[in-house]
Amino acid sequence: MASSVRCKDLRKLYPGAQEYSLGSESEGVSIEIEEGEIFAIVGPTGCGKTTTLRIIGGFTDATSGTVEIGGRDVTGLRAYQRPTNTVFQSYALFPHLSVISNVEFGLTMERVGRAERKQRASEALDLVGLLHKAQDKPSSLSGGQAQRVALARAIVKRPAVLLLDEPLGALDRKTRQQMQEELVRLKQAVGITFVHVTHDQEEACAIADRIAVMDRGRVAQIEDPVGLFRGPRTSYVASFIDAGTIVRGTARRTGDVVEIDSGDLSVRGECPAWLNGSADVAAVLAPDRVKIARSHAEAAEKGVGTASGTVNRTVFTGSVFEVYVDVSEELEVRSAMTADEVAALGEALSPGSRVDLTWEAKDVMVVEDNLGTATIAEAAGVEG
Amino acid sequence: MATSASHGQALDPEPTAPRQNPGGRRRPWSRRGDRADLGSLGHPLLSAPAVLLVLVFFVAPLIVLLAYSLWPTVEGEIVHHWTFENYSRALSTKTYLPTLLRTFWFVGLSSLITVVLTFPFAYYVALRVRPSRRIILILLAMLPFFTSYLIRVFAWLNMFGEKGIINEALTRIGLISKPLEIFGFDRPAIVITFVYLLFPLSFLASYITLERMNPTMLEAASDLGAGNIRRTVRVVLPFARTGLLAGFIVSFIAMAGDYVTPSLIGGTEGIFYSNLIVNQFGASLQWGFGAALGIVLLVSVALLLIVLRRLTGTVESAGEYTRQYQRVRSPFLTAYAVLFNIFLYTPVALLIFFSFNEEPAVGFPFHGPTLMWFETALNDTVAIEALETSLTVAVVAVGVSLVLGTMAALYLARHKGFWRNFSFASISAPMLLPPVILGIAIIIGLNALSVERGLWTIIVGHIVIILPLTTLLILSRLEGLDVNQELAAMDLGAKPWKALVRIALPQAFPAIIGAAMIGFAMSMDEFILTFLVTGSQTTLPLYIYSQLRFKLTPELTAISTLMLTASFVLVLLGAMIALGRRQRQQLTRS
Repeated sequence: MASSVRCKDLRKLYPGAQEYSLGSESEGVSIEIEEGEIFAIVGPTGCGKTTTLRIIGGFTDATSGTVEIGGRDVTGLRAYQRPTNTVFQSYALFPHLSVISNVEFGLTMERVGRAERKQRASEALDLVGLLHKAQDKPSSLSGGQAQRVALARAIVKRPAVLLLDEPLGALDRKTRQQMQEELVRLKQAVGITFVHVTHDQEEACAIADRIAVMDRGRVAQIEDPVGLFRGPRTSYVASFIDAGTIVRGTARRTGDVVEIDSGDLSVRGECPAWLNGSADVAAVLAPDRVKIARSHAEAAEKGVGTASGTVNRTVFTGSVFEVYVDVSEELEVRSAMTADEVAALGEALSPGSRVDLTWEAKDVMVVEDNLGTATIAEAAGVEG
Repeated sequence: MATSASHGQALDPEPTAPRQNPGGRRRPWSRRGDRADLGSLGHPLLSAPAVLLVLVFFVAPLIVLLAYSLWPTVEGEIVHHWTFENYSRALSTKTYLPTLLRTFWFVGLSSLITVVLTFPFAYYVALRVRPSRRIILILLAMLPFFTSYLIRVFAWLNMFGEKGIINEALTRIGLISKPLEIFGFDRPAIVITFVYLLFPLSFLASYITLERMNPTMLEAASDLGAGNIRRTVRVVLPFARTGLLAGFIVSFIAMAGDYVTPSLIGGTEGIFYSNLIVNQFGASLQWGFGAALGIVLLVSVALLLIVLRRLTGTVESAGEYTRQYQRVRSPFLTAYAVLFNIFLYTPVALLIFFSFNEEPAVGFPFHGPTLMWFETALNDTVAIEALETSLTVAVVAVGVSLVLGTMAALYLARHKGFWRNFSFASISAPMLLPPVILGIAIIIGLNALSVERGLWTIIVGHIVIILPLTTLLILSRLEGLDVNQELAAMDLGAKPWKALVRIALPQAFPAIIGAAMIGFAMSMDEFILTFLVTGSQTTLPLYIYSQLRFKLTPELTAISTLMLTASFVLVLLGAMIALGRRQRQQLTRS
């Protein structure tokens, strides 16, 4: 497939800053985004995701590296010369112009004739369902509506790439879910490549074809959502996307099998091919693959991996029940269960009860452990 | 995925607070955007004309002033021979240093009282009044600023003076046998007058800060157990201290350089340090010594400002403009606001009232309505000519200031670095200088170059005074705009200058109108500098002064009524143009 955006070896050192916001002394960031996909970039604040987007959009120059869009080198071009349009986090609607004039703005700049301008702007507004608001001022719009206008304004020029900077961050949960659906629908309707920056891995998962997880100026992993959740490569990625309980400890490798000991618990998993020679490894247990057995015998019969612990609490998330089980002082394992499963276990799940946990060896995800000592506390906080 | 939120937070300490800066890392895209990266928006040369003007007509004269202060005067002539003689005289002679200290004590006290008295009103408007109604109160507070400064002084004299209304009335009903001397140096009335004159500026300074105070902060303080008083002392005042300090400084500088009001009110007793300075340029022609006195004043004011700033410190990120307000009944503050407006408008109302009085002396009794004083005023050719001169000066000075100020603000709003800081510092410097010093510096500078004074010197002087304020007003508006709007415009294909013209300028329009109005009012009313730098021209304030030296005539009350009406219409017109947009937006919002 043709690649739409190709970033090669990008680095960004802001003037006056001590460390690189993107890339490092030794290595730049390279990303290839395919034509027509929704590509999400996720990561915590300060990971470089917004800087990457700004460099692609032409709002800031990379310290080194190149950007190609549709095969053309656009590295030196300014924002107004690039075939990209952006949906800003703050929407950045022009408050002194009506909704329709906002949408028309890009076409006016292109010197598109009045009739065509009106026509195309109306179509774009219609696409986001806000044609009836055309004459209103942006200040009269709700958050979701402002977001839609910002979208219409950005797609009306039919850019090669649409850049979205945390576009749904300020919306409430329901509107956000609606907008996520709408973004996917819109992408199918217009066939534009979307680059979507967010710190919300759920949102990325819901709409993206592929996700890049960034960590302190580097790309930690690029993968489709399922691949990412079922095969995180590092404990950092697993922790950020919340792939499951991370078990850290001392690792022993025998052939293709890795065994990780963390206190009383021992987790055995298959060592993936790419993990060669890395010193630190950790195991990740996805909550939906960890089951709670009724008895010790049942556990031994069911799973390869077992552990026993004390139920700490059960949390209903609205769709599943998540049971937190203290296996040791440092380790809390999470298991996701359906209502039926919870009902079947009954009193056995009350806080303080002893339970047995089981999982299958193939479900243990072995990752490179790069959380480091500085973030052990945070990791512990995440898990407990 | 239920715990995703907590997971996200563990790694991302401030996901919902983009202004925070965890770990000292730079946020690449804060709401205000990234100024360093916007090099293309607003060319550095945009601030050059304003900077150049300030350098030539402000910095250069000050340097000449400094040189003159180091030259002695021998038999009425300046001798080019370097000496500290002038300074040793300025600092040792019995008259000068005590007068300086007395002036500072008095001016400081009056400024403090002004700030203290205006603060509750500013607080009331900023935090207790709904945003759509605030503008009315702001205009009400600012309107007196648009009437003649000198006439306002006389409005007070008219009430409190030896033959003023209060004394007359008290004598008539037999309460007192000889007039009370409320006016005179070191007497309360002079403080009242200054408070009255400086109220609008002080109000504006406090209000601008308080407007950015989110009332939720006060609720938080109460929630944490602070009562009304502790809340004010521990939260409100510390938050507003930048604004309070600004109000104090503006008042202090305006008053410290005023050589008219004290002498008008206090007579021979009302000698301020500025009077001593100006005297050196009058009959005694001791220019070198006058220059030294000027430098002493300049340095003292600068030292005071530095000390004050050290003491109060500055408030980092004082918050953003908020439309929120406290929806509580506030009978005391409301009453205070009402009383304040009575205080503001009584003298003005009396002036208007007396302009319709047939009685040839200003005051009671009222002999029935007449328009004869207006007729006299409108037939007074000297007054009309003075008005024409004033209008010419104001229109040119405001026009130039607006063009240069807007250009400079466009650059200043979106840049950092040495040239930006240098431009900003030079353009705002004249605000920190009592205009009397600028006046003598210009006289001396022109003298050094042997250039005749004329209309243009008045215009230039007015530009130097108006330009800083104009620039700052427009700048504060531009800085309040979301930079992302301009980025969005560029993203949609607008070249930087187009983004400026189409997006930034239209939104700065209300500020430009506001700056024009305030600048116009300042120019129309400027006396202190004009009196020094004029050639043979007479502006309206100079004319009024020449008349007032003898007595307050009904004609003057008629002139001030006319000026007040004109200002009122102008302000209203400006407000309509500037606020039309916002008001319309408010209507659609509700």
